[in-house]
Amino acid sequence: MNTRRVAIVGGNRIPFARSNGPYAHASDQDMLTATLDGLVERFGLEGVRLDEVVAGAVLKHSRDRDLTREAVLGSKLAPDTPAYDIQRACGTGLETVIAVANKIALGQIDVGIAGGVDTASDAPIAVNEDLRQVLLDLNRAKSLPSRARTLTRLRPGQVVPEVPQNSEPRTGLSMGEHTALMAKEWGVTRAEQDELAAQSHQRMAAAYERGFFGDLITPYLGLERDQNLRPDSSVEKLAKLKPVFGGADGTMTAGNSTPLSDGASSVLLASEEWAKERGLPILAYFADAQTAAVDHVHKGEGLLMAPAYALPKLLDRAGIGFGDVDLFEIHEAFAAQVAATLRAWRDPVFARERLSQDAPLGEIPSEKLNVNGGSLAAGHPFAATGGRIVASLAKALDERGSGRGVISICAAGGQGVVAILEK
Amino acid sequence: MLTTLKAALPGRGSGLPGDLLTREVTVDADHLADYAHLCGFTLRDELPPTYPHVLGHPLHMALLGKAPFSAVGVVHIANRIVQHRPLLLGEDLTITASVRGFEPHRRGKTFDFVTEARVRDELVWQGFATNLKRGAGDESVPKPPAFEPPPVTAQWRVADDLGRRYASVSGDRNPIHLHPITAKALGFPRAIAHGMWTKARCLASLRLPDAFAVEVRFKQPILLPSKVTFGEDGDRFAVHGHLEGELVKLAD
Repeated sequence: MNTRRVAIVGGNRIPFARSNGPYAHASDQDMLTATLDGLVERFGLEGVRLDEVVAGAVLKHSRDRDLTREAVLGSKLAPDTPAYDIQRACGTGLETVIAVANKIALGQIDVGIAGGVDTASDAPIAVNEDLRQVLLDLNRAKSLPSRARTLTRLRPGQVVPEVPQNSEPRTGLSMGEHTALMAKEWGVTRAEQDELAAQSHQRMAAAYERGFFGDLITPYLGLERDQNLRPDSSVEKLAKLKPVFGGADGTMTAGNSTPLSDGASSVLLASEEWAKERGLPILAYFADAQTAAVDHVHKGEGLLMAPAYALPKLLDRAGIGFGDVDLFEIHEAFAAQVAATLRAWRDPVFARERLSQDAPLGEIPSEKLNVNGGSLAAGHPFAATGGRIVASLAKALDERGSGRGVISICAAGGQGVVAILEK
Repeated sequence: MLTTLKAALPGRGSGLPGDLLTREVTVDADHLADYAHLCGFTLRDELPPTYPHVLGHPLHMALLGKAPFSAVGVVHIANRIVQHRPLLLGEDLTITASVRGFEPHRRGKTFDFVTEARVRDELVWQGFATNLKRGAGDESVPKPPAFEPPPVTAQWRVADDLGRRYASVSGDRNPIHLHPITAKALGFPRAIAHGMWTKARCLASLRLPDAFAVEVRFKQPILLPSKVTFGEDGDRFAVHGHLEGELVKLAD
């Protein structure tokens, strides 16, 4: 089958905020709409009908059934721009890019926006499950006596609402607790986690300093930079923090884990012809993608280790190894998860027993890893992370002038999404 | 509500027209969020075009307090907004309000609250809120031009607590909006929606250019709760039976 090259034209996001901070009263729809409008302004798309907008959110209100379409209708894009939502936990953002890119590659569409948004502040709190059942039965009850009987099931405790949990439905463990298990299994030290965290902050601060994010971010509600970013972060300061996961002798702290965050991101993808006709730049090309999942439920595999399986598959298909990759973007849900993944890729036993490969992928040099900072510095509004990384990596490749970059994102449910960008 | 009210209030009994009251405002993002969501706007850095009216409300009340007549029976009958560009969250605004009038009307006399928003010396936004003080009318004043309302494009359910919710974000706590009992005491069968909420809800439904003038005439009040219909067609829009509106795009 003939496929076309998929151009990454550019991106836009709002600065990421810590939850219950400056975006506390902004809804997913507000943030996604503002993000789309920033992209519209940057690339002169006001009133333009695009072929598709695809976005998603991980924590979603029932009223946001068609979040992306509603955001499009509230944006400056032409109202007859089609849109849909998809969802794959923290892989949502990258998955939207894959969805748009695939249609462009197949010639089904010429241009689209991929995006994601999440708020941990304006969380979808639902009515108590017992109360919900009573209300549904009340609605089903046909006679007055049966309605009255249903109403006798109301209890004061049912006013306590259901709050979304950051835990795995089948293990009851939070993502942090799962990662603490991974850290233990792979022997990840506190020092290397703090090193990764400090480096993330320092590199992102440096990228801001040199204006790298100038055409990737639009200020929103008074915020101009990612609120979580601490340019003066250091290993010494991080070493003072108390562990929050893995018990008293745990190695994971609030400093080397991402905080709950609010934010949104978007990426403009197009065929080369579309970009050239409009005189728009091509930062990089979207080359290929792969997903994988682990069995964290029955086999006790590390919840966030799926990218360790996905990336080797992707590189095999491309016929390349680590030596052929210039930039690595590994989403930092936790420094411990990054460290565990890096260890798996250089572990001969993991290569042989889990990947059925003769040799491990090897070492990723620090100077190629998350060169403009990562989620530990920026924060991690779940579905917005993929778009942040794709736009940043595309721009970093454009700055280099040529090269290849890979993206690796771990997600809840034991899943992973990885992709290759090229210039 | 927002920041310091630096209104230099002249002494009592100075009458209405001629006074110019001023306040400096820095918009609070949380208040903006409450206002935007209640009226159906997306929360963004551009302020909703009806928002400066709310910023002018304390000044309108101060002006009305010095009027030579009772504020009871004053009805907001029309409202015109001219936006030269969107105002932005984070800009320091100077809000001024004055009264222009009086004009004869078939059912009394009208006066305008003229509200202006400036960023430094740049005039960015103007509002003209036309109020009717019922009284001896002048039948020779021509009726407003006939308005053919656009067909229905949407239906809104207007909740019974809307008046109280809008009162708390706008500061306009006129009892006719708050509760059926207080509204009845003033001659309405139930509480009624604020006219400026209705206008805001309309503008939130339209695709607006950056620079425009928009004029509405308020017809019958919306009784709370209600189900009402909205229609838009090019530069005209309506809440059928309640509001007639026209939009004019201005050169940027």
